Formats: sequence, C-alpha cells, structure tokens
Amino acid sequence: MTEDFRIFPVGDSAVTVAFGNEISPELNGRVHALKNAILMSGWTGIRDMNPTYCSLLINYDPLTLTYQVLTRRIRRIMRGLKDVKENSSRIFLLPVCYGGKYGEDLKDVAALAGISEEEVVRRHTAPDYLIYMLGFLPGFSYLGGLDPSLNTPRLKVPRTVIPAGSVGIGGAQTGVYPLDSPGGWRLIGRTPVRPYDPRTEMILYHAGDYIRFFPIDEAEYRRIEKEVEAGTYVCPEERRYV
Amino acid sequence: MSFTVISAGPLSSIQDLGRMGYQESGFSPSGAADTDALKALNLLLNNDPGEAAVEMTLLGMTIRFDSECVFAVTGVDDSPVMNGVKLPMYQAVQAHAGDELSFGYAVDGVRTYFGIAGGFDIPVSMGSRSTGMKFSVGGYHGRKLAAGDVISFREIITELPNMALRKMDPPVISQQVTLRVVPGPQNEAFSEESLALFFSRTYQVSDNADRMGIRLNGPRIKAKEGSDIISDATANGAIQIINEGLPIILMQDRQTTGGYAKIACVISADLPLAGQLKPGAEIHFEPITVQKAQSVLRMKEVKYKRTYKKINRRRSIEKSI
Repeated sequence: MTEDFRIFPVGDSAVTVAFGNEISPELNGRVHALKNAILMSGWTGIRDMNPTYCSLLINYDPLTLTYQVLTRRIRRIMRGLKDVKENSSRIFLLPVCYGGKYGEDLKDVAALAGISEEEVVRRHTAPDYLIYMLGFLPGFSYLGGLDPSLNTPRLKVPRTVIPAGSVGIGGAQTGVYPLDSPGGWRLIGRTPVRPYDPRTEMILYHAGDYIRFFPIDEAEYRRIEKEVEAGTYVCPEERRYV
Repeated sequence: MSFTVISAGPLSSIQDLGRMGYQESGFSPSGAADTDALKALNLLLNNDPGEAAVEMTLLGMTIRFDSECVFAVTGVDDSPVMNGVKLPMYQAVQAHAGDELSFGYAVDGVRTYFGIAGGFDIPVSMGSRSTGMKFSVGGYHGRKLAAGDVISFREIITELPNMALRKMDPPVISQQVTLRVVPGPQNEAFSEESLALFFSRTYQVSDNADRMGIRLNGPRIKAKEGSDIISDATANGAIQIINEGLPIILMQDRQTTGGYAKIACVISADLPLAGQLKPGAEIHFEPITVQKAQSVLRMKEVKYKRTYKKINRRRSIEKSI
C-alpha cells in the first residue's frame, strides 16, 4: 500500500511531512492531527513544529534523534492516525469595529461586491474561519472560509503602515494584522484584541483553531481596548464539534 | 555590575542560540547568525554554550565597563581596542571598572560577538534571550542596542580558572566557501539540468544580505512549473528559489512561512559560515545526504565538547548544546 503522505528532509535538523498539494480543511486537519499526536507522544529531541496548509515541519535535535529514527516514528504514528479526527476545536470570537476610520476600504469592498456596507459586515461575520496556519508576522493568520462574494483585489499601491488589529481582505483571503506593518489588503475594520501579549507571552489562538468576527461600535471598541491594555480582557470562546 | 554603550554601531543586538517553539505562531527563531563564534565565546568564558552575547555587524560598539568582569570577543576580527591597546580575538580578558572597549570595522567577515563570563542580565522571553527585532521580543527591550543603554551582568565574576588556557586560534573566515546542503524539500520541482547547474556553478552574495536572508546572484534556476508553492514552513538555511530563478538562503530572522520552492537546505555544521558572508562572497553548494550531514554535526559536537572540557574541567555541559 502506498502512503498518502511523504516525508522530506529539510537540512539535517528538520523534516517536512507533506499530505498533498491543495488547500482544504481535510488535509489541514491531518496536519494538526499529526502535530497533536507528536505532542502527546512526548518524544525527546523535538524542538519546534510548524503546521501549514498541507504539511507539517518538524524541527528536531539531530544529536538526540536521527533522521532514520524520526521518520520511522512518524510512519508508526501515522498508521495509528488513519481514522482519528479531531472532535472539537476552539472558536475565538473577535470583536471588530467595521468601517469609518477603522475600516477605510469598507465602502470600496461594498461597491466592488455590489452590496451595502451592512451586507459586507453580515457576510464577513457569518463564517467560522479555519486558521490554516500562522506566519508572515507573529499571530498573522491565514484564514479559510471567506464568502467568495467578498473577494476583492489587493490595493495597487500597498499602505506603508497598517495599524495593528486591522482586519482586511486581500483576494480570497481575510485576516488580522497583528502588528503595525505595511500591507496591501483592503481594510474593512479593526479589532482591539491582540493575538499575543508580550507582557504575558500568551498567544491567543493557534493554527487549527477557528475565528469568528462580531461587529461592535466605536464606544465598545474603546472599552475593550482599555481592557486589553490593562491585560484584563478575555476573548470570548466557543467550542466547535465536528 | 554592567557596561554602558557609548556608541552602538549600525546593528548590535543580544543573541543566543535562538527561540524555538514559537514558529507555528509566526515568531522567527532569531539567534546568532554565526553560532560557531557564539559557542566558542562561551567555551572561553565557562558559560553554557548557548549563553547570550552581543552580536555586532560590520562596525562594532564602543562601551565602558562599570564594573569588573571577564570577557571575550569572537567571530570576525573588528580590531577591538581596550584603553588604547589592541586586544587579541578568541581570548578571555579581564576588565576593570572604567575600562573603555571599542570595536572597529570588520574586514574579513560580518559579525563579531562580545560576551562576559556569567552572562548578561537579560530576561528570558519565550524561552530565549535573543532579540526578535521585527516583533520586539527578547533581548534588550526587544530592540538593537543604542548609545546610553546599560547592560547588567547576572553574576560578579572577576576571574576564571585556567586564565592562561582560555584562548583559541581564531578560525579563518573565508569569503569563498563551499556550503554543504541536503537537497529538498522541493528539489523535485526542478529539472535534473537545473539541479546540476545549481550544484556545479558558483553564486555570489548580493548587496541584499541580512539576518533575514542572503540573496544570491548567479545562474538562474527555473522550476519546472514555476517556483510558487502552497505556502509552507521555512527552516534556518533553507534555500528558496524565487521567481526570477535566484536563490535566497534563509537566516535566523526569516519569515516562518514562505511560498517559494526550496531546492536544498544548508547543513547545520556549515550554516555559521554563511553568517559571515559579505556582498561579493562566492558560494559553491555541495549536495550531501541527511545521514552524512548528521554525522558531520556529531563529529563537530564531539570536538567542541572535548575542547570545552579541556578548558572548563569543572563544569558539565551534558544538558545543553
């Protein structure tokens, strides 16, 4: 029987386990299932794991764990993983103040889609977005599940500074800028929530979790912003059962 | 128990062996670009091999010691001078309160490391003291050093045993290197001819080389169906082929994910050499197997431990590398 995953060396201190070459919740679910199984197994010598759309990078200490031993263990763990599915995931509910000065491009996104601004907000807050992976910047999430009617081309000239918390749409993707950074996505709103707090070193969400946005007004934005600054804000959370 | 920065140079930052465990959240590992130099420094100073030091880039700092300590300087020679007297590289030296130490220009490479016995009093953030400058984590307030900064010491150490033994021959830092690489993970995206070209020709370091990555000039490598892939995770030393067909060696401040095919990855034992390459440096890539790469690393580590034990007899380093 041929395996439906492949293991490639990445230098002498990492391997990547590739599950295919497409963006789908199913493949991404297998990536996270393997990551969780390795975490549970408590192998010594694993330094860091980085799950992405359809592969898992495993950084290991080659002085503790050789390539042969690691790949043998991965194959063994994969055999036991065949029918295992994650049965629940977390959904983080992120408050977003849409439009106005917080989302300068909301009117353009609405105009390009041929719908009202309110309808953009309704469609943007409807799905539970799967966090396929994090990258580019700490906490920058690559989300799946944007309503195709909201697909909007990136700006021709990227902004040089986008404030942290900005929620944008770029092509078929949506997401939150975790830090002030340049970027070319259309900005439709802003969340006062930060995906990680350098003071506590706490990271709010991980790849494999879900995000759902909900609309707030400016007064609520200010109130939550103060709580976030004081470190007292607790992001609402639900569980999603599969 | 500190030193004060009088002038910082263009890019001086606190670095150790890097921050592992947070790449899935988008935090690049940071850490010293020339880990051989960092580990040699700590060997000379009786520190853990991964103790944090100041990494200087091309032009060094000028500092004043506010108290006694034992320090050393490794990496590329940037002509350190203390109180007007030229200092040897790769040797433990005692300093006294009021001593002024200044580093000049690096000629033969890029990065010089300065550390003290006992280590700097820098808080451990997310498992490391390395400065993640892009996201302001770790190091000295998450940023590169600036004039006026005061870096405290964790311990008062005014002398170490075997002071006379605490020196090494500085390694030769070359701008013409062979970097051994393990092909993959996406070497199949390239034709046999492309791979043959990549491994037979010489590449030059471009002006675009920093802690994120080293862009190279040389023969263009075409991926069979374009170099774009579904974004996956990056690793230290991974060599991306961008759409123009030119390689980039990804370094410690790299983005944690990327959308270009990676033809090969520099082996751990050779990556420190890349941390010293200047624009114009010449690189030849030599493919080896992952098994061979791991045996090279093991031999290197055995040699390091042997030297470490010879100088630091009373300290065990079994638990760290």
